[in-house]
Amino acid sequence: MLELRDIGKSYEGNPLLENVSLQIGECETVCLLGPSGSGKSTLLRIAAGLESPDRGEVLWNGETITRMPVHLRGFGLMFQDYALFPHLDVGENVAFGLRMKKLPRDRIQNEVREALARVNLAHYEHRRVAELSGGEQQRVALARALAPRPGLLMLDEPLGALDRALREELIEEIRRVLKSMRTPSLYVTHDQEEAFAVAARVAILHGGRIVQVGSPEELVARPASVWVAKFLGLGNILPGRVRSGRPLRIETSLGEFPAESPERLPAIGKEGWILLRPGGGAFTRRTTGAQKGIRGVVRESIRREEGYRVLLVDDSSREIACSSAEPFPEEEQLVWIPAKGTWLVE
Amino acid sequence: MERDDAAVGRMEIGPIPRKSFSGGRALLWILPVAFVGIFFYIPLLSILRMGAGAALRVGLGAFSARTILNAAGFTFYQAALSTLLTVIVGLPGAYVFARYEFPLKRLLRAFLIVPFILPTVVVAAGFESLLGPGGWVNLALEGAGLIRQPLPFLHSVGAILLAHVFYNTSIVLRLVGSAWERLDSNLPAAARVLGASRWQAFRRVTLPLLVPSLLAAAALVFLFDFTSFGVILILGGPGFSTLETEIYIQALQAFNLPAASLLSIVQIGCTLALVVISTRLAQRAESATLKVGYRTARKPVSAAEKLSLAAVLCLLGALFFMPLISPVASSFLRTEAARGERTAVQTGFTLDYYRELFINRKEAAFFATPIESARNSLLVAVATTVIALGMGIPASMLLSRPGRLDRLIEPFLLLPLGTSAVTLGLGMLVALSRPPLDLIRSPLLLPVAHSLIALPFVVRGLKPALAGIPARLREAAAALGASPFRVWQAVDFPIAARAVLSAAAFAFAVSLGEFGATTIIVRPDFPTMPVAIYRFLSQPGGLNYGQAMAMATLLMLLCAVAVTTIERTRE
Repeated sequence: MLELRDIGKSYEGNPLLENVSLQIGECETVCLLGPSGSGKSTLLRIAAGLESPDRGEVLWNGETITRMPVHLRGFGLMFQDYALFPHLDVGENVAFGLRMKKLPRDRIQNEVREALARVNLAHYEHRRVAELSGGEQQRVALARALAPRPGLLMLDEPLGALDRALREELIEEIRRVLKSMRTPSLYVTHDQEEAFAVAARVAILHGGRIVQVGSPEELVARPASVWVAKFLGLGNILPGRVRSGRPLRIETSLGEFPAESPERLPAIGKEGWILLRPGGGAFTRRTTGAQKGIRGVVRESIRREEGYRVLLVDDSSREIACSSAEPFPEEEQLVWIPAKGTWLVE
Repeated sequence: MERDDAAVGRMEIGPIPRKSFSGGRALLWILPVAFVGIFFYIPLLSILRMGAGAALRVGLGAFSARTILNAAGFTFYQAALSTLLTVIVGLPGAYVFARYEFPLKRLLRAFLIVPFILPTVVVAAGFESLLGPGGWVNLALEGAGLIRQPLPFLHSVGAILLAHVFYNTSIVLRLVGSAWERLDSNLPAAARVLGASRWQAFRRVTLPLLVPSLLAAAALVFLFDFTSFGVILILGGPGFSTLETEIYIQALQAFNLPAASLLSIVQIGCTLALVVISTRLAQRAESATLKVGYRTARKPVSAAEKLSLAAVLCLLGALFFMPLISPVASSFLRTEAARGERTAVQTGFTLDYYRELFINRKEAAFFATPIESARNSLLVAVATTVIALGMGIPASMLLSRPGRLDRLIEPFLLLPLGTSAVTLGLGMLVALSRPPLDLIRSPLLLPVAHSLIALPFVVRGLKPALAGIPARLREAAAALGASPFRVWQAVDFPIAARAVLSAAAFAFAVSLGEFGATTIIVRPDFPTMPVAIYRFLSQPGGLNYGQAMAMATLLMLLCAVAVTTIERTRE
């Protein structure tokens, strides 16, 4: 089990990481999700031993390895641009870690063959690295990292350079391989789809701090802050004030909406934000009478994988995004009644 | 305006006309080709003829095949050893420059060009004042009471090697350093994660990837060490001779021109092979593209990093700066008795050595005041600059947009680059000392020889600058009604002016420091500064020594002006 305890790191006076703590259990895949510059790659390099933290401890099965040099840790790392050795062929690349372990020659050969078969690249041993496609290089990198059977596998944006169709195929493959080898892993990405697909537990990093850890379902249902909700793209976020506590109702410039709070109930009068998710609401064309929803004019209806994304524009030119099973004609007057909102704090 | 716009449109749409070998181009070629033909190829042929004749009757007096073999053997031996040492010294420096940020890095990087420009005689004087019997190292050791008599650093293989390392380390720093900078730092990191120790990661990943650039640098260093002249002559002393110094000795001391020619043929054969090898290796290093990693240079963090960085920089600093500072110090400090000085030696600060340069003493090796050599050097350098630019500018213009025939002419112009300076001088001595080309006493011969040496550098510097000017600018100017000359004047020249200035400074500096060819064809009554320094160094006594240092300091100062000009125009 890997434990990162209160990790701090700064570079030239700028903090990169502050008090970051994270644990990765047996057979578990944990994903570090964050925008570029959030410090996720630095955290990964600290776990790998490529950088040392200014503060805090790295523990492996309860023992500190903070000062242990990288090559003695027995971890695997898959680099963003794969970092395949251009002067070695595919087989020699995969064999590199096994050679460093000084395994006998025939054993190395078997392990290389097995590792390449595992990523569907059997008989690629003697191919040159430069001849491979992006997806093939990625698989060789995975095979190379896993061949020495590392105690922990780290993956730094492993699919960053690939196109979408290939990414989806490879996410499946990575998940399958990690599961079959029962290797705990730390997966770094800025892509939430990738993160949610690959890991049961996701840690969101922002400005050098972990701002929320949870399963994909928890993160979506109960974002811990306005920033997390915006980063995950959960929907419309409006400033508001608590009108009543039970049931929780939030007053905004677009009207009053029922809401739930992920944490304790906020006090009446408290200022904050409300998240109105595009899905789950209802539409009505009756634009007169009592106002329960948001009134606006349809700007456009955009086809999505399922249903439509409808953009409403209200009197003061604010844009509201909502989902609908049917498209609406442009310029049509409409009232959107959102489902229960989520109360957010800064 | 309408007509002009239409013309521009046509130019852009129409196919770009292939440059044919027109009359105008032929006219531009005449001058440079005739120049190189008469002053390089005719002398070269004379050497070949005389050397071939000599080869048919080997055993020319005191000269024999054994002499050639010995000289060639020592040439390869010292070049190989020098190259190895240079690479060993240069590698840590290349690493430091590629991977770390440190104060004064830009300045130090700019300084790397200095050894290229610095005259060999100045370097030799520098090492003599550092390591000679009256040099600073020996003085310090004596002062500390560690030794009774000066240690014989000078006139040893060690002195030669040290000077070569000084000269060529910057080549390794530049070539290997830039390759290292482009090496993805994740590659050695990947090796580390896979269980490789620091050394294993270097040995199995970094080093193999640097091999192309290392080989290219080593080949170039070897070539320079192979053709080294002034360093061997002065620092090696009479005990050591390479092909290059043996040519000089046979030509000027044994007056055995056929023997010298034979040696020159061996030398030409070797250097041509080395040039071919080094060009191939350089091309291969260029094509071995390395991807840029996400992390390049950074500041040192840990104490160990800072310490080793400081150690490497101090070593490089000592190597680069000590031979530069030490002759300056020697020129202002009296440490030993001048010959014939009756009073006791007063050690301390003195301007006497500079003053002496302006006095014509009977015992001096000149019939004029020594400072006249500075005037001579400046005159020759100015003439060289004019000739080299006069030949180099038309050639570079043609080569920047070459047709098929132009491409054939390029190696013809660049061959002097691969020929040793002493061979060039010998060729001129052999070919140009009798009618119809009796030029050996002409005051223009020195600038001509220097121009031949500078020309390849001028062309190499100007060609890419001119080729880099967008063709559309020229086409637009032509479409607006400019004649070819006006196009050149209005578009090419202003853009290329910096490159021209840089090339001029380079030619100037090359001429100031040229020693190998000069020493063979120079008229005794018209010495240049390097020749004067060499003469002073060959004479015994503190006064001559001091004047050598004073003159070396002046020459260094002049070269510094040239270098500054080059660096300024680069920015």
